[in-house]
Amino acid sequence: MGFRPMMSSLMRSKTGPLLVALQIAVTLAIVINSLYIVVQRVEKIGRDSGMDINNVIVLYVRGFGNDFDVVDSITNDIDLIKSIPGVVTATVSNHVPLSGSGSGTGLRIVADETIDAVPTGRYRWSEDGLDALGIKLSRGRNFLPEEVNFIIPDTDIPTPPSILVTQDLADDLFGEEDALGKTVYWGDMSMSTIVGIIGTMHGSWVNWDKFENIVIQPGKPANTTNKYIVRVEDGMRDALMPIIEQKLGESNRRRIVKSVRSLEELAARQYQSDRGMAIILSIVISLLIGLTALVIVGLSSFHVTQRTKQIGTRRALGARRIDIIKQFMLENWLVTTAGAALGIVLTVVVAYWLETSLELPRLDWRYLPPGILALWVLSSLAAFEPARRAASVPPAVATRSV
Amino acid sequence: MLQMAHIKKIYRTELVETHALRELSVSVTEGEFVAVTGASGSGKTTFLNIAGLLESFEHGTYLLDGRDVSRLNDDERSAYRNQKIGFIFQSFNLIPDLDLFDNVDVPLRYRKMPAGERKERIENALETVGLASRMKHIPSQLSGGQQQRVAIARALAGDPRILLADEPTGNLDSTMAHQVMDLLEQIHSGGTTIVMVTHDPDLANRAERNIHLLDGRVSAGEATQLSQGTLQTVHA
Amino acid sequence: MFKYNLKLAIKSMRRNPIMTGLMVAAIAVGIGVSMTTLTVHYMMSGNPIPEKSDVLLAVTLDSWDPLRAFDEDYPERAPHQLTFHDAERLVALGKARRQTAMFESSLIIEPLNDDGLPFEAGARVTHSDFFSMFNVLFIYGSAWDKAADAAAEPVVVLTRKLNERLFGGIDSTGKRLTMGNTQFQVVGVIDTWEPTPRFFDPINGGFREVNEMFIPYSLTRILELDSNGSDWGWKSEDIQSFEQWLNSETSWIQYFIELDSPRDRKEYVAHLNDYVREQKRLGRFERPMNNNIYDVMEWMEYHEVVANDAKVLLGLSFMFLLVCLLSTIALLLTKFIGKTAEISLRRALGASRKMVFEQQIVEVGIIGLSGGLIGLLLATLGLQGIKYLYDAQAGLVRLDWVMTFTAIGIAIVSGILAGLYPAWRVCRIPPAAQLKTQ
Repeated sequence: MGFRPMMSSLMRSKTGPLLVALQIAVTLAIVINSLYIVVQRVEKIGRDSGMDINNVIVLYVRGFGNDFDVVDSITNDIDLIKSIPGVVTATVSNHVPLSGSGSGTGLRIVADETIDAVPTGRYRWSEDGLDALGIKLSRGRNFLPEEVNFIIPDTDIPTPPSILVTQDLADDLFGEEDALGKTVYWGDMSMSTIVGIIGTMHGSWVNWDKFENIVIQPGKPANTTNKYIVRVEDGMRDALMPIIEQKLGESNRRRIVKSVRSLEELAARQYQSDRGMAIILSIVISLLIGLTALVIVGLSSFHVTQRTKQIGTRRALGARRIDIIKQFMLENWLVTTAGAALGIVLTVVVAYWLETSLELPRLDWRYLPPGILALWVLSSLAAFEPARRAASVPPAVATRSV
Repeated sequence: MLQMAHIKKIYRTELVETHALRELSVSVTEGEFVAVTGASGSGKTTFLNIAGLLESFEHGTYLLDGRDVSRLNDDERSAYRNQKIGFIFQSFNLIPDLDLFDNVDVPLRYRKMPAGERKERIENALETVGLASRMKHIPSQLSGGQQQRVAIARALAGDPRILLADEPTGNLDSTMAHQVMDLLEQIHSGGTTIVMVTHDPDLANRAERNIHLLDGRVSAGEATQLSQGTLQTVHA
Repeated sequence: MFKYNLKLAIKSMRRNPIMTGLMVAAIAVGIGVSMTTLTVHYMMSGNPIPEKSDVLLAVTLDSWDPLRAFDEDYPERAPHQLTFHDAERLVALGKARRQTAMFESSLIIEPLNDDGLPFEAGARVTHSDFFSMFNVLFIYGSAWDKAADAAAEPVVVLTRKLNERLFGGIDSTGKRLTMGNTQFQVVGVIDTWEPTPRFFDPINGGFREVNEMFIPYSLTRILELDSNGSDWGWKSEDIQSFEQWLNSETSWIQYFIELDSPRDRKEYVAHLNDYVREQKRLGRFERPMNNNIYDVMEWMEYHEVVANDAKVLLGLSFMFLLVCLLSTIALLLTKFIGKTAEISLRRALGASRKMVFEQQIVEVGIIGLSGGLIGLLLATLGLQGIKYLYDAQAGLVRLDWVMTFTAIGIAIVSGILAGLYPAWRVCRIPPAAQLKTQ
């Protein structure tokens, strides 16, 4: 059957095919945009954190009572933890990366208040800090033990002279220049020197666009509630978590262990909404594809049944089985193409709406061609079985009187 | 032109075996206008299906236009139907979504003919049946008689060797029936072989020869129904 | 007539169960998905305290850095929390009908008997007005009074949950607890309270649980209570003592007032401006005057409590519903075309166009209703899924009566809308059209 007669035949009873085309169009718009979001979120969750997340345990502890000696308690606790077999090292820290809780500040390269500071996250930990998180220095050196002092709240602490920064922060501060050895200024105009640079590291707030800007100061924070970051050997994490908790609990009854969590769990919680969104959208995409495929199968089958007499007649007039299959597949292809064309327009409209009203990142147009191809393949697959059934309508149908 | 010998056709269902045709032997020479008559259940439709290569058969041989078509595969039969046979059906079997031009076009498309040649043939065929002026109309806009004439044009467009007509006037009133029969006779006088299945004796009489079927075979009483033309008898 | 149409509809639906099943499924899935997201969105954007949401207001004062705005993206905004002493002074001035300053902290509760273990509980440090302002209901006892606020009495109000953990759920008013080296007395226990969203503190999480206990704000100095919430500072200050911390320019206190009516807003802002002018004379508040108050719904919007993702999902799922509708129309159309013989027979036997139309509408109405009921079931499942995926508050994923009826309503309306065109097509079939064989 030729293209032109098929078009004019479709035009005469166009409602059905039009509906299918419209459905294909809307499906394409939803699927492509949703898929893009899913990929974005999966990529976000999969970013390299620069840390050995699976082997890190975090403990939140708090002492109570009138004469509780925080410094003493922290020293003893860390020593005790380090002595447990399977523990690589441990440190106390002001905050925990990827926990949703952190400290932010700003740094400048000149001592001028009027210039905007570069925003950054800030951690304070001992010389064991990098190792406790499995962070690798790309250049320079770590803190020396003599640089690390206890930080007691509401006391005067001079700004420690050495700091570590991430490469991202270094780039924001110094651009192309080498940041190693350079000076930076804090909010109070005191200064520190960059002694080491970290390639990549993630901060506390996963949705902050500057969360890879991190500055680390040497120090052992001694607050009311304290955080211990502990790294253990491969595979020992789950076994060691209750052991560490128990040993700490036994060693000092005036200091409670509020909670013990794996860094993996804390991080997962930060990404919970991204994960949820990816899962929900994946379900929506699957349902949509399933529904559209079923509708195409259903409608195609119905058309075959409706046109049994016509098929028989065509066969009687000389159509081979393959001609009938081609006819039905071509009809399906026409409708799908119309749907895809409209779908491209709709996809762009929806993408525009998502970008402007809902501040999502702009759709990568490279998603369109594979999307359309996949749609085309799906539609053809759905229509093939009915087409095959059409081809098996016997020519003798033509002479039957209904 | 058409030579069937000892054709047997059996329909099998789970419960029942029907012998639609038993030992049927028929012969039609080129240029004849033959009517095939018989009561319902006599096997007329089955005969037509087999003659038109619409169905296969179990036993016997069938030569069409000099070629043995007994054991052709599906594609070969389709090609033969397309090129050698022109069908005219009782209920016209026009495709409702297509206009007259495209309806007549259908068999030509399966022949992969260039557009120019198709157009010429279609226009000529519609001219022959007197409906060229309504080329762009769709079947529902035509009367029954007119629809059947379009079907005839469709059958003719491909220059068939033989026309097979299944109760061509069955759905028409007497005036239209006469028109259609006149058309058929006109076509026959041009040299086309026509085999027409009918239950109407008046129509059968307008043919040159009459083959009467009874219970799946040619009835012995055929000789008495001769009106004119040569007598052809059963081949062994 | 309706019963007859009903009978016919059911017969027709049974004749081709696959087609019917597919249509019902299409509507059900469409309703399920869109109702799930609609419910979440509705709960997130709902008014948690409609009876007085326009007279409860959050206060912001612009005490920020003279060189730059608090929020670069919204330069017209002041910091969303107050400094400690601004809050203290405003409460002392007491210009609104009710007011409260507050923050989140935590204390270790020492064991009540020898074999218990100490544990940490979260506390909201606030004023006595908090409870009447936010319509919090008590099951035992009551809030502390203004005198207790003034005297910094060590009193505590427990939540039902904490009361059950500590005292087994009995009336614990009068009982004592030791926390922060101080003996506290329980003065009241509140009933389970889960405002959705947690409007009085969206800064520290709009959908988290209410804190476990409440203690007077005036205890902050005495117990040197730390805030668990977020704090924001622009000035580098030399802080050597807790008192200096309280006097610093760091913003960490949430401040809410209750007015008699929304018309009093202007007057209150004028009062804030007077206060700030006075502070400017002391060398503080170096930025231009920018003091604002926000009622509950405005405060929710300010903090964008309805997650962006929820809006995205809502939009996409209504497009999804559209696809389901298109499917249903297409299926109905083909199904009805298959019924032309029956319809024309009925017309020949005397059915009017209106009757035929009605018959079809009843059928699609039933399909819509079935789809809606199953869709509701799917929505319930969907909401449970959301609860699991997002660790959501129960209040966020509840299908209340409004949502339930909305679901059924949308389903039936969709079904009928989907069926309008096919039904119209079908009733146009002339009486004798299909009676002859084609």
